[in-house]
Formats: sequence, C-alpha cells, structure tokens
Amino acid sequence: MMHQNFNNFFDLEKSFSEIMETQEKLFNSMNTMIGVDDDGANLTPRELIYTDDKLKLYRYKSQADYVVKIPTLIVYALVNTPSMMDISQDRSFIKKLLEEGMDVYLIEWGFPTPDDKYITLEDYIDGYINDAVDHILESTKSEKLNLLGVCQGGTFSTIYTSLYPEKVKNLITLVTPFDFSSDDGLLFKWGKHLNADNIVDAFGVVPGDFMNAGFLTLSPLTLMVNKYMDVINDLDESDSISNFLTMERWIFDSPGQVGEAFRQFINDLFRDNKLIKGEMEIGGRKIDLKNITHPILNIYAERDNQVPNDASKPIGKYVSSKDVTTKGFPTGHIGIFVSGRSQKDVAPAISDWAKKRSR
Amino acid sequence: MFSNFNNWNNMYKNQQDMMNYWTDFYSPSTKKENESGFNLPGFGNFTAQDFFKQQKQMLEMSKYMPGVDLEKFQDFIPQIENWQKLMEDYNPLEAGSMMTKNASDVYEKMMDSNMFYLNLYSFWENMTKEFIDPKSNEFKQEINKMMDNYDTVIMEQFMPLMPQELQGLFMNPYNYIKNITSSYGQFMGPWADVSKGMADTFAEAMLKDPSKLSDALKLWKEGYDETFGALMQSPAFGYSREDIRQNNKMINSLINFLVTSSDFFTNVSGVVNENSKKAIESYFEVLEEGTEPKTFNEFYEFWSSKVESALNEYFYTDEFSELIALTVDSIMEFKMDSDKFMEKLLENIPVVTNSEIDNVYRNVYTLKKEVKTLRKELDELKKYIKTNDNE
Repeated sequence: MMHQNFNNFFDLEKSFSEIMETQEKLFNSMNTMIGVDDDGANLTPRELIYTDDKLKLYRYKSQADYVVKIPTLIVYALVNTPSMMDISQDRSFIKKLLEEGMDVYLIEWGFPTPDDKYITLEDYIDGYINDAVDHILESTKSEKLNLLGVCQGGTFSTIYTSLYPEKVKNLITLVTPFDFSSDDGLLFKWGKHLNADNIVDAFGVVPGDFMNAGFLTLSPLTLMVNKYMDVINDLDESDSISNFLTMERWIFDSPGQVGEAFRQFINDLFRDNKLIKGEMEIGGRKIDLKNITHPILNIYAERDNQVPNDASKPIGKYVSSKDVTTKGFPTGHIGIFVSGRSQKDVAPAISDWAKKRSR
Repeated sequence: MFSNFNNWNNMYKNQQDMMNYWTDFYSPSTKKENESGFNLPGFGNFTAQDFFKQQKQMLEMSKYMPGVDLEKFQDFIPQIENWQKLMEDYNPLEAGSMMTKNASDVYEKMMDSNMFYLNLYSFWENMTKEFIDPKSNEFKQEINKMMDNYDTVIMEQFMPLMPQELQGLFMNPYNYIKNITSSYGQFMGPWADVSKGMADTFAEAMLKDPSKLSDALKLWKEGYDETFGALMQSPAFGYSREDIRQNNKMINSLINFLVTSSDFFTNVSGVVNENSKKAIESYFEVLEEGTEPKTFNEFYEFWSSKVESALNEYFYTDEFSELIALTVDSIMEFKMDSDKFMEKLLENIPVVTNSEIDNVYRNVYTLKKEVKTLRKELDELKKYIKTNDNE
C-alpha cells in the first residue's frame, strides 16, 4: 500500500512545469527589474509648513469640494516612516482621507542622528507635538484639532490629549497599544524581558536595522524566505514588483530610535505598564487618562501580529469619555493602511466618524 | 606549641629500636648454640628465642604503625611457622663444603641472606594482600591526617627548633610549594569538576543530539568563569593597566556573547530540526491518505507552515523570551566593551571619539531646549506688548 503511494507521491510533470515556469520568470525578471522604481510613496501633493530640528510638518492639499474645518494631525510612530500611509496613489490611505474631505497634516519625525540621543518622551510629546499643534492651530486660526495617532503615535496622541485636553477636538487611534500587560504578541512578550538600559547605553540612538532584526524574528521563515519566494510569481508584472519594492523600501528604510525616549517607552510601558496604571510621568507631570473626555475612535486590526488586540481595545475603560467607538477590521497591522480594505472601509469609517464630530 | 612533643619522642625511640633490631639481626651472635638444638643455617648462633624475641619487637613496633590491626597478627603466626620450616629445610647445595671454613661461612651467609630476602618478600607480599590492601583506604586516611598534622608539626614544633637564619631558607620553598599547590588546585579544580560532564555532553552532541553542544559550552563557561574569567576580570597593573583591563573585559564579554548566542541559535535550530523531522513524518502520514503535496512548492509550503508554527509556539515561551533578552544583552555588553577598547586604541590619534563628543551632544541638547523655552517666552512677551500697545 505504502509502496504504491511512494511511486506516485510526486506529480513529476507538474513539478517540472513549475520549475520551468519559475526559471522563465527569473530570466524575464531582468527586463522587468530594469526601470522598475520604488518611489511610489509620498506622491500625494503636500506642503512643508513647519520644521523643528528634524521634524517636518506637512499639510496635504485638499482633494474634495467640501473640507472639514477642523484640521486633523496624523502622529505617526517613531518606528519606520509614515510613507506607508501614502504608499502608492492607488492605495494611499492619506489620499483617501483627503478625498473624503479631511484637512490632513502629518508629522514626519525624520532620521535621528547620534546627537539626538538625549531627546526624551517629554521632548517628543510636550515639545515637538505640542509645538506642531500650536503651529497648526495658529495658522488655521482654530481652537482645536483632531489627533490621529498611529501605533506608538497613538499612545503619544493619547498622552498628549491628557496633557492638553483643551487643544484636542477628537482623538482617533489606530492599532495603538494602551495596555502593555498583554502577552498575546511576541513584541509584548519579549519587551518585558529586554534590558533597554543596556541597549540605549550601547547604541545611544538604537539603529533601525537593529529594530528590523527584531521584527524579522517575529516570523523568520515568512519574512526572510517565503516573502521573496512568493515575489517570483509576480516578476513578470512591473506594477506588482514596483509595489513590492516600495513596501520593501518602507520596511527597511527605518529611522533609529532616540535612546532616552526608547528607554522610557520600554521601561515605563512594555515593562511596567505605567500608562493605564496612572503612574506614567512626562516632564514631571503624571499622565491622568481620566483627563480625556473627548470622543475617541479606536481602531484595531483583528489579525495584528505586532500590537495585540488585548493591548488596543480597552482604552474606553481608562478614560472619562462617554463617546468611545472601538472598531476592528479583519486585516493586519500594516494591512489596515495598505490593503484594499483600508481604502474601502477603514479610511471612510474614520472620515465619517470625524466629520460627525467636527462641527 | 609543644602539644605533640611526646609524639616526637616516641618516633625517635621507635627509630632507635628499629635500628637496634636490624643491628642485632645482622650481628654475629656471641651466644653458644641453643640448647633446644634449633639451629638456623647461616646465622651463626642466631637462636629461635632470638627470632621470636625479634618478632615480639616487631609486634611492639607495629603498635606505632598506622592502620595495622594487631588482632590480625594472630592469623599471621602460621606464616611465620612456614617461614621457619623453609629455613630449616634449606640446603645451599653443599657449596660451602668446597670452601675453607671462613669462605664457607661467608658464602653460606650470602646465600642465606638472599634466601631470607626472597622469603621476606613473599612474607611482605602475603601480608600486603591479606592485611594492608583491605586497610589501604584507612591507611590513606591516616596518611592524609598525618599530612594535615604535618603542617602543624613543622610550623609549631620543627621551625622553632631551627636557627632563625635557617628558618627563611626552609620557609620560602615551603610556602612556595604550598602556594603553587593551592593555586593549581584553585585553577584546575573547576575544570576537573566540569570536565567529565563536558566531555560526556560534547560526545552526546557529536554523536547523538547536536542541541547538546550549547550545554557543553555552558559547562565550559562554568569552568571558564571560575578560572580564566576570574583572571580576566581581576584588576590589571603596570604602565598599560587600563588597556589590559579593557582588553580583558572585552574578551570576557566576547566569550559570554559567543556562548549565549550559541545557546540561542542551537535552541532555535533545535526547534527547526525537530519539527522538520515531524513535518516529514506527517508527510508520510498524508502520503498514506493520498492527500500529500504533489510538487516541491506544495511540499515547501507544507514544511514551512509546520516549522513556522512550531517556531512561533517556541517564541511564545518564557524560556525563549528570557533567552532572546539574554542574547541581546550579551551583544550589548560586548558592544560597549569593544567600543571602549577601540576608544582606548584611538586615544592618541587625532580622532574624536564617541565618549569625547558625548558632552557636546548633551550640551547642544540642553542649549536647544533652553533656546526653545526662551523663544516661547519671547513670543509671549511680544504678544503681550503688542496687545498692550493696541489698547
């Protein structure tokens, strides 16, 4: 019985055909790869309106007939760059928000250099974000704005809202960690054991490549092998390759992490979970989440492998706000910005929610 | 200080007795042939009474020999009788009859002494087999005890008796040997402790389970930590003491990093290997069912999904979380130590090092903050003045 199966266990014809097809694609890839570009990101028209050290504040040009008066400031994470939110014109999350009538501003943190090693979370939140907010409010003559925080940027936005509640109209958080006690994600599991002090003392500014090595370890086969095998199937389509290379550039074009801010983020949040305990301090001031009475839209990705849903979902429990909308989408941590569902569902959901609360 | 002085007296007395015994034994007797007619050839007028007297002396002496059971000597008597009989029957081929009386006496004594030596050897051999060997452990313990007391005896009883000028001459080599023995023990001891386990684990890693390699390295590290590692971390001295110290520290961190990362990669590859094996086994199972992957691509997906899932499961364990943290930490420690070492090397070269520029970074950071705060205050003041002017 087994012997018979052994004789037939490989479909030789199909295997041979697959191999030939792969070889052909590899040969043809020489033509496809010549001239293909990875510059698909950041093409949505925007204007640099403010700089502060390495921070750049952009205002995107409106793309709708009716634009909501309340400006929306996107606060991205310090990890990677926000170009992922404007990855290509047919998949741009930011472009979609603009088409939906939002007035969008974006903070780009830039790439820290060794002299930035002493910058703290206080400098980021109380300094850079606050100054950018002031600049927007002043330039638009607005009293308040919407804060849209992404991942770590969501945590920053939440802390900022508790410190400066008078400047925020609505708080929107996407795939944001609040409760760091979760063990559901590997980063959260490992982060509790990391000796952040030694990492910071060794590097000063923690290199982006070092961070990437950690991210790749989350799924080594998928991220280091399978992904590149799969791309062979798309080698004959220049658009697919262009998208792949643009994403690849975004993934590995990673800024370093400023030492002191990294140290506090890992120790206070990943290790000690101080934010929801009401023990976190920024510049000597306790962060009291109960100061947040604003409408909150909290979006999480149901298949998020970086920020577990347990860490994202419970913000409503810790704030005073009576208007908290928590919404999950069946996608991953990055998929929430770059997938087809992002264009179709996520961006419209945000703009609908914000428009209703921006009058 | 003189608490064991009697022992010394006893020892000297015993030695004197022994010398007397041997002197008597070999000296020609002045006595006449004994009355019992019990004559031993070749020993002049050495009588049976003399022999038993000497045996008695031996027994007396044996009281002071460590580890000898006197009661056992009762069993020893038949041996002595055999020996006597042998001596009685002894006939040196009448060779002496060919010689002059004097020459014959000498020849017979030579032959007899030889026979005596051989028989004594047999006697000693039997005695060793029957009495000393079974007691050898106790004997060793006694010897060890004696060695332990030896230090006390030397220092408290022997040294005070020596002229002061000679004490140094004796003490220096004594201390030297003692220190060498002690250092050797301290240095080799840890390796002796781990060597057996290390060799076994290493053999197991080579022949059976490669994942044991990191265990062997861990054992090696134990030995290293207590010996070379301790040396590496000890303060250096001399003109280049700082360079040596930093160099040693870096080597120590490097070894720690290599051992830790070896543990990390061995564990991860262990999971991959084990689950690759399981994946192949599963493959044969689905082969039975006829639902097996038909192409290499399908097989690769089958294999990688199983291995990735196993890795994911392992990554979620506390063991791995601690291991990855430890590995990262060992890399950081090594980086910090090697950076410092590099900076020491560059010290006299016109290159600005990280540590030197660090003060500049801190000052620039502080000044920037101050400027921002002042600028904000200035803006507020301007606004205030402008508002007041308008009013």
